[in-house]
Amino acid sequence: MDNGMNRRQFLTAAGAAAAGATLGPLVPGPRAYSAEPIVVGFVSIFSGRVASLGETGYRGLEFAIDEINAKGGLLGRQLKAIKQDSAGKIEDAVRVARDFVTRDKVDLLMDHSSSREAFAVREVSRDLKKVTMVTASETTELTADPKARTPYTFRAARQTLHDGIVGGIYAAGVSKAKGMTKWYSASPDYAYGRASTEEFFASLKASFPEMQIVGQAWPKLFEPDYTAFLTKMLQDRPNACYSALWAGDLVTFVEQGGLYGLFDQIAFFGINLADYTILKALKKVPAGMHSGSRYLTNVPDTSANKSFGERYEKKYKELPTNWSQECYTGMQFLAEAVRKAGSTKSDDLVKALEGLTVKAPWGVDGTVTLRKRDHTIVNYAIGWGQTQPQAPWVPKTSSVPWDKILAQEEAYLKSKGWV
Amino acid sequence: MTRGGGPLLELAGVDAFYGRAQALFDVSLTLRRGEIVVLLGRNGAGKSTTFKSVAGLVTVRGAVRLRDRDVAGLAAHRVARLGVGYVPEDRQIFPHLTVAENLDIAVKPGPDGGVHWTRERLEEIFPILAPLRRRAGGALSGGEQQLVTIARTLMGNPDVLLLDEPSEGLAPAIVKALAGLVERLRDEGVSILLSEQNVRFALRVADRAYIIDSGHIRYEGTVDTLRGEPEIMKRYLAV
Amino acid sequence: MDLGAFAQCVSSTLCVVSQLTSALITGLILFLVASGLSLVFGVMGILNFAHGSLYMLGAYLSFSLLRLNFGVATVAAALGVAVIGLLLERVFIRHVYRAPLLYQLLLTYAFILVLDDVAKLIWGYDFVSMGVPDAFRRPPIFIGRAPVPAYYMFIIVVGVVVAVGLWLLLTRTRFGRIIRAAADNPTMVAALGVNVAAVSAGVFVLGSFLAGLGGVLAAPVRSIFPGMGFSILVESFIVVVIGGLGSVAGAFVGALLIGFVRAFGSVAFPALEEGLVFMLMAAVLLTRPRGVLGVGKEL
Repeated sequence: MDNGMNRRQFLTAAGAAAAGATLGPLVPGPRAYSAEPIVVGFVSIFSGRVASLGETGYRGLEFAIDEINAKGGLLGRQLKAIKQDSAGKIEDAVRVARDFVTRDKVDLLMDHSSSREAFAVREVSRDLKKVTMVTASETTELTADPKARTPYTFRAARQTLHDGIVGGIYAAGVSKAKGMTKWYSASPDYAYGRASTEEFFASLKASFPEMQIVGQAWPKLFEPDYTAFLTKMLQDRPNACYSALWAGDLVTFVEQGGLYGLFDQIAFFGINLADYTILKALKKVPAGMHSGSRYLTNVPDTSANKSFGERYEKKYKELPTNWSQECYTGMQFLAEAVRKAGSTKSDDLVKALEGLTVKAPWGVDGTVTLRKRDHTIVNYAIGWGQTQPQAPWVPKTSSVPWDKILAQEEAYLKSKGWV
Repeated sequence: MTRGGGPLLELAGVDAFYGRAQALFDVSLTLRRGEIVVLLGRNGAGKSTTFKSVAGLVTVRGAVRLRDRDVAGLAAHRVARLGVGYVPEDRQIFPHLTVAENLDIAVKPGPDGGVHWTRERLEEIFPILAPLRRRAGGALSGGEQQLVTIARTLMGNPDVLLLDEPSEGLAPAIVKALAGLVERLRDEGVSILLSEQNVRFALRVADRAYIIDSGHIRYEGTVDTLRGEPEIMKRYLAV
Repeated sequence: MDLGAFAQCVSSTLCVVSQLTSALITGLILFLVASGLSLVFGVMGILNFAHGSLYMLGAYLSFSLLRLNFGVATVAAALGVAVIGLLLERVFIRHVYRAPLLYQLLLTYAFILVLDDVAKLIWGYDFVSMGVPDAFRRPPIFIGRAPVPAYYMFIIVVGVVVAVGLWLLLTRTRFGRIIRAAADNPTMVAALGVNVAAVSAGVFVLGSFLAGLGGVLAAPVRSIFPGMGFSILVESFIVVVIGGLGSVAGAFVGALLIGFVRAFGSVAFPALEEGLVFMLMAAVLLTRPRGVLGVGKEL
């Protein structure tokens, strides 16, 4: 047997594979400018079932950066982003974040990871004292627990608790009208799925004490087959089901549930359903499902939001996702803080970011704020409504005023001992 | 006695290698049509390697001619299709297949395209086969396995049969039957190259003999001549 | 742990039928993939890490061909994967049959990465969802009050037919006997005049076809994305360990066992569903290192 030949072929294949796997294409550098660019390190998932997290989030960031650079950049310097794939692995996310800071000397970090990795990246931010904008992890605890908070981590992503409060109030209204007392849940088995489900039910129970939970399914993240959970749910005969499944998991769950006629019998409340990637991936969007808004051009129903969607679609030939919107908004916060602080030093930025209000298409009144106390975003649009099989998919949404959301949030945080 | 027509199988100056280790040195031997030739030698002398050199199972240098065609370096299945039937020393029956399935795998026409052996014919020569048909290969006794492997090889209609130590580990009564079988096969037109440590058995059936030692051929002659060379037998075969 | 729920389930036809179909669907798709993996290992001694990627390609091809017609897509996609398998084997894998194990693993592992990237280039980074064909968009079939989706009946029927067909192929045809013999002793098979390289290629193609078919059947009900082959690869390895390396009958038993553990485990031990499969594997390894049927090669 010709061993030399084998080794060479094998090396070629292995080399090609390694190159393809570990090096995401880097962003082309900006044209030559006098000053060094301000660099944002973007860690996210670019492979596997939730590659859309990284891909569409990065587009949101890039979209914001292009707009800022077109207006002359920041402090006379251009903005630039570098990105790397963590593949959803905690250890890789930590390594990427550390390398960005220590090797690439990035000025700012953007952590666009699932909650599994986000808690670990938070510790990198704490350790290396690097300002980090979290743009995907929604788990309340990440910023709400005062014992674990870090001064350098901010969140421009939704917080499960806000969504859960609005969802619970909305669901209570539907439940009262239809007498749906028996509830079920099907959420992914990790911090985000657990927190989101608990907070939704807490809010639902507060407004509709008659409700009871008759069963809960906790499939693992990226579960390929939900049949066993679905058949169990059918036997338990709930009136309604809440789900914090997301992306491909949610699509699969809805497809497989549809085969069992599940949604003819059980009202479905999916907090992550109304996002364009999901709506377009579903071959047939079932009518009458209840969903929280992720990104929709009509939530909030403002000209600024509609224009954002249109400009983005013109550039990328697809509508933004919630993740694009969150990264776009996160970059607005960072840029405004750099301008205000006149530097990219962490301590200056922290001061500038705390309590910062910026204009954003996503804001209910055209602005959003990073709350000083816990560094998380407030005043963004949250709506719940029912699906229809064709665009705009969720034509009408109802919401809850932010003062009511905040009051209920305070009560919940107290019950957790976090305030 | 002398028997046989022209040369059917001929090794000329064959060296054989396992990786870098050389196991045969300049081995030359000839099997003529209709002959039974025995290769004698101690354990590890190079008998099995010689057979593997023919069967295409070991790397060789030199010429292995089958009916004047050089088959050295050909893949094992090609050598087999040219009419070489190899029955290895350790039998190598397929343990998870039944006897019938073992036989079925080996079915192919002979080098002349003809089919000489069928299961029915073999069951006539080997009466023991018929009742074993559905037994798993792994469940047979050593003697049964030996007969099945020979029968299996015959299903491929070879005209050269390489029998590597067929008598090893068999009871004397079975060895006697085996001798009869080998002669019968020769009479059916199969030329046989046999290797043996059992000198008595070998000298009973063979026409000519070679002695191999440390990978070198040390002796060549008729069986009758060898019988008159006790010195040689003692030196190379410890008899 | 909820043994009460389990007892209640076992006493109701509704629950038993539902979880049984669930077990069969999971198990049969897994069997298609794992049997190919086991065959390839048994005959060629190659642990093909890229086997899960062939499952993924089956799903993607079916997704792309669906616009023609579902029947055409099913057959053409599975055959397409078989052709890809043939190319992989002839161009690359045949060179490492006798190479050290590490080379084989690295080469086949490299193909996971390469094929995932190929899928990304052709079909995009994002998951796609094909949905069940319109012919199967109908109310579930009821078996004693338990709903069984029409498409799942189709999976079960195809899975059983393929399993029986595979069994007949291996036991009733000469090709099948040669495959089984080559799993024991390829050298001897070659010495009997059989072109083992061609048989190996045939086995690889057969294994690829089975993996592709698994992907094709799963495509309408699971989301399709680059990297989807990895989790089924891991499960297939577990099946092969449980069933015995190289044993197709063992793969059948192992795959269905996993299906049953998952389906009924989600009732009895909802918190442990994932761990149960590994516990099953550990138990088999400890008590029967050659697999449940005791005919595979030892690990």
